[in-house]
Amino acid sequence: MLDAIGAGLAQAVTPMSLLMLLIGVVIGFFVGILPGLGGAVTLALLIPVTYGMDPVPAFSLLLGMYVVCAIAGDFTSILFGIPGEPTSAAMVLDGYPMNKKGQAGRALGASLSSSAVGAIFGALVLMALIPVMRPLMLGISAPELFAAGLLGLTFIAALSAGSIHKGVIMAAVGVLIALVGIDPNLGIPRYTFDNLHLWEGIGIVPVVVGLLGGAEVLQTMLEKGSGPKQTAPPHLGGIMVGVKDSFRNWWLMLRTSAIGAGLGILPGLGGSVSQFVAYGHAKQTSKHPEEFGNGSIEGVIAAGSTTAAKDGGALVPTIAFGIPGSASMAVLLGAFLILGLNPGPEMLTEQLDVTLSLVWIIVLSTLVAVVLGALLIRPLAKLTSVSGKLLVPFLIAMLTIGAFSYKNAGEDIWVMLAFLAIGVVAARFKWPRIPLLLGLVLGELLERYFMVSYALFEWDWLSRPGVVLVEVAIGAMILLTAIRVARKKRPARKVGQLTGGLV
Amino acid sequence: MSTEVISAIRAAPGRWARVNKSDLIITALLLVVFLAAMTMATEWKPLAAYFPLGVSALGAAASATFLVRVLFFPRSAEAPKTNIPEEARSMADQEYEFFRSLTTRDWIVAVAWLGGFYVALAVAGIYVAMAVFTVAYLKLQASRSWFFAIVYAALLAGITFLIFSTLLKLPLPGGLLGLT
Repeated sequence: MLDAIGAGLAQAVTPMSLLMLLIGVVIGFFVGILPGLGGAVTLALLIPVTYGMDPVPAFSLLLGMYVVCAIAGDFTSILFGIPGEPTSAAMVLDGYPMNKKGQAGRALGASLSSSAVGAIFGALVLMALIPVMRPLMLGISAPELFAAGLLGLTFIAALSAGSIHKGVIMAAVGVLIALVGIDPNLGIPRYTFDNLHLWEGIGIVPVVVGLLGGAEVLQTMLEKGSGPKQTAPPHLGGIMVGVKDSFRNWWLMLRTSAIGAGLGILPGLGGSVSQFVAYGHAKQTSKHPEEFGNGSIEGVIAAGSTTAAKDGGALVPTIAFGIPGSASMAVLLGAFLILGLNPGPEMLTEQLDVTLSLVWIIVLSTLVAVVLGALLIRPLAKLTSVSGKLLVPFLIAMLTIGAFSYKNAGEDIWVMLAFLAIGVVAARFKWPRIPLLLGLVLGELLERYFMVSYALFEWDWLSRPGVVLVEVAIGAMILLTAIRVARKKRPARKVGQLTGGLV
Repeated sequence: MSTEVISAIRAAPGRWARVNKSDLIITALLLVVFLAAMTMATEWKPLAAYFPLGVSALGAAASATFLVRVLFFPRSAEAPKTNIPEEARSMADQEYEFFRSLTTRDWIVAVAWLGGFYVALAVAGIYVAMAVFTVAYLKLQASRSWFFAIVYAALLAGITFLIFSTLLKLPLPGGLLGLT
């Protein structure tokens, strides 16, 4: 293990990896601060750029961008009260009031430092869980992996905004879309309608770009007004005061980091929920709960550390089981497959050094982001006032080039546009898009595990103890969701109910 | 006619008003898609058909049960009141509210701009489409000066050429005229 940790570090600090990491960090700052594109869409747009790269430099670019995106999203939460990223919503609650009190610099300092601690904590959790996961992973085979994939999909579907029915339906649509193309077992074209382009299947990049990015671009296009307005320039002094505040509250930082990393592991919960759970925990345990919502530094610290810690946790099921817990992790899983890596036992044995290099990439990109963020806080703060309308031509060009570059095929632009329409309709009528995306990414893996299970055990695999256990868990999940939906009719009374639709 | 049936008929108009029409249409469409997928899968050899059959059957069952729920057990259109602060509501809720607030004119404007860009792309390729769209959009929608719009368009096209065509050597869509 120690050798692998060293090998992982050696791969993460090669000149090429560091260059990619730096580029990723810079892109992450822009994406996190500017309106228009989220982390998942930008991950998808960057995938074609990584073709031909070795896995570690490729992930330095992708993960470096993604990790920083969440940290940078806190800037707009604090300066304008508008979350730059969905995972930065809790930061608004206290970060923005602090800005209004003339303490924007202090809030940004606390946010950056707590994010750094959170990200490193999450990465260490990922590293610490590898020895635990390895024997577990080596002891299970295709039937259990199939069942685990199904469980992950059920989690996402059950926690989707709207209803579990909508989540399941959208997940099934996603899996069906994944089946388009030549059948891997018999070579039969499935759902291709005699269209040669569909023989290769529908790629993840055009789908993500259209499904998630299209709705975001349309929102940017149609936003009323010309972007966020700041009545007075934010006071950006006192960054070090915020940093000191964070370390004075080190125990809170560690606790909320643990919440972020822990909930990050569970598919479907991720950053959207963990930030509010941690925020609620910080409020409950604070000596000054009355300050929460009015500019509490503890609220800022809790939100910052949780948001950053979730990424390490979210990588655990993605790497070990091939079960992504969120849209971003689904895209990252797609990147694993495109770069020739097979999430699952292989990542914990033959590719252990690559897995550990991901831990180092998270740590390094966070440190670089914190240093850059602290040094460039004033110019970065100015980016937050860029009007969304100015970015529309750039965003549309990026979506188009991203979709086209996936296979250098014009047909993928049509695929992107089709999913843009689906994404907008889904957003307009409150149908969840994430289960569709996860279904698409997991569909191929699920069918592979299903066919291997069938080849090895015919239908007997359905009664294997591990599979039965997961079947019970799926049943319990559906039952609990039904109870949750029934209870949701009552007014929310607890902080834990703040989350609303989760995905 | 029994009193139960009479009261059910009386309740029907109220219930129909509460039926979420968009959910009804989307679910019915998806049910048709799943049934079509199932029918197609039955024509394949078993090994190629098992998994698609299972997935489409699951999707059809979920759609059918949801259709029943939407039609016969409609819920109040109003979401229950919660203590969720405006700025901390989920992104799904915020997107839903945003798109719901759009007028027909907003939709026409958005589709026209997007449609214009992609028609230009299909005909003249990415660079011409990007330049024309950028200048027109910034001038007409963002109320920027001609100078700003032209410089922005030139920079965007130049950076795209530098990164994608020169550094990454990726081919870009050239349209019918092949202008890349």
